[in-house]
Parts: sequence; structure tokens; C-alpha cells
Amino acid sequence: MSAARRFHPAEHVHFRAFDDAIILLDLSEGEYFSLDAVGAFAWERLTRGETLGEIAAAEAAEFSVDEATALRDLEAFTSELEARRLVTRVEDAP
Amino acid sequence: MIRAVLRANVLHLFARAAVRWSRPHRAKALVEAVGMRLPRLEDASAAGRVAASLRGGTCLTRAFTVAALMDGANVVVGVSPLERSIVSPRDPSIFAHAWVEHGGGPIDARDVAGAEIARFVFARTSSRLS
Repeated sequence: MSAARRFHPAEHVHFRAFDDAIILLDLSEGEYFSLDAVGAFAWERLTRGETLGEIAAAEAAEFSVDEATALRDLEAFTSELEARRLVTRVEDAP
Repeated sequence: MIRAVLRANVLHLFARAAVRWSRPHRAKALVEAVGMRLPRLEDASAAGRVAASLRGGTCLTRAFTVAALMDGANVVVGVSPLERSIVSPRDPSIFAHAWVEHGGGPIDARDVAGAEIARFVFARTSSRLS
């Protein structure tokens, strides 16, 4: 269930929050990334250990989007973050 | 001082190669390993004169070079967003800069730009050699 997935920032990733954006610095590659307001909203919650489902519910309450759409967008977002090795998936204990 | 400037410029050539061909932490370690074998810059004033002599490269290569010649210096990376954007590598909407800090502050206050996102801590030669 993707809604139960959790991620945390990769060890080599540093980040800094601004008013409506977050900048990520991948020190393993020397690359910078920026997240817009919605991405920053999700990133802050990922770093707190919230699940994708919890974040989708928060996005639905904060932005004009339904929860299912928010979850799909989050899956795509975290897939991209994972592909770029900016986050690692937290494996829940069996 | 002329010798210090010459040494720093040679080290800067090495730093440019290191940053170009290796990842940031590795490049820092390489420049630090070479720099710690060279005579130390005693204070921010000397570091400022050496820094001003460095040409080319990037702010990161210049900062690595100066920090590698000072005991206990840090290289701070600062960033600030220039505009909104989606996730993208080497994002042109991000401003980034690197500067040297020593003794709790920048060696040149005019060189500080952006909010700190990362810090490279350079060793003291005395602690490395003990």
C-alpha cells in the first residue's frame, strides 16, 4: 500500500527551507534542486516521518485537491526523489 | 606573502581539478590533504589577501583552497531561491555561493550570500599530526 510508505532524506542530502520553497543540496553529486510550495509542503512532512497517506490527507485539507489525486501526485513525486537518490524508503518492521 | 600567494595559486589549480573530477566531499578531502602540508595562513587578513589573488575556478574551489591553508576553517555553502520551480537538477533558479569562515565568522563579510545549507569543516594541522 503506497499510502503507508514513509521516506526520509538521504544521508548526503542537505536542505534549507525558505518562505514558499525548499532547496535541496545533494553533496554526493554536487547538485541543487528546488521544491515549489507544494513540494516543500510534502518534503517537510516526509522529514517528520509522515506516511504518504497522511501527507495526501494534509494536502487535501490545505490545497484544492482531492485526497486520491494528492496521493497519486505524491507517489510520482517520491518516485522522482527516490530515482535521484534524494530520499530512502523507510522499511517498516514486519 | 608572495610565496603564500604562489602556493595558494598552485593549490587552487589542484582544487579546480579535484572539484571537476570528484564529488564535493572527496574533493574537499583531497584539497585538505595537500593544503595541510603547506605553511598555514595565520589570520583572516592573510587569508583575504590570498583569496583576492585567486583567479578562475568557482567560489567553491577558491573557498576550499583558502580553507585548506587555515587551521580550523570552514567552508559554508549558502543558497537562496530566485524564483519558483519544479524539481530540476542544476536548477538555474537557485543562487548558490561558498565562502570561508574562521574563528566563528566569515573572513570577508562581503563574501557571505544566501542562507547556509551545508558546511565543510577543515581540520587543524596540529590535531591531524598528533
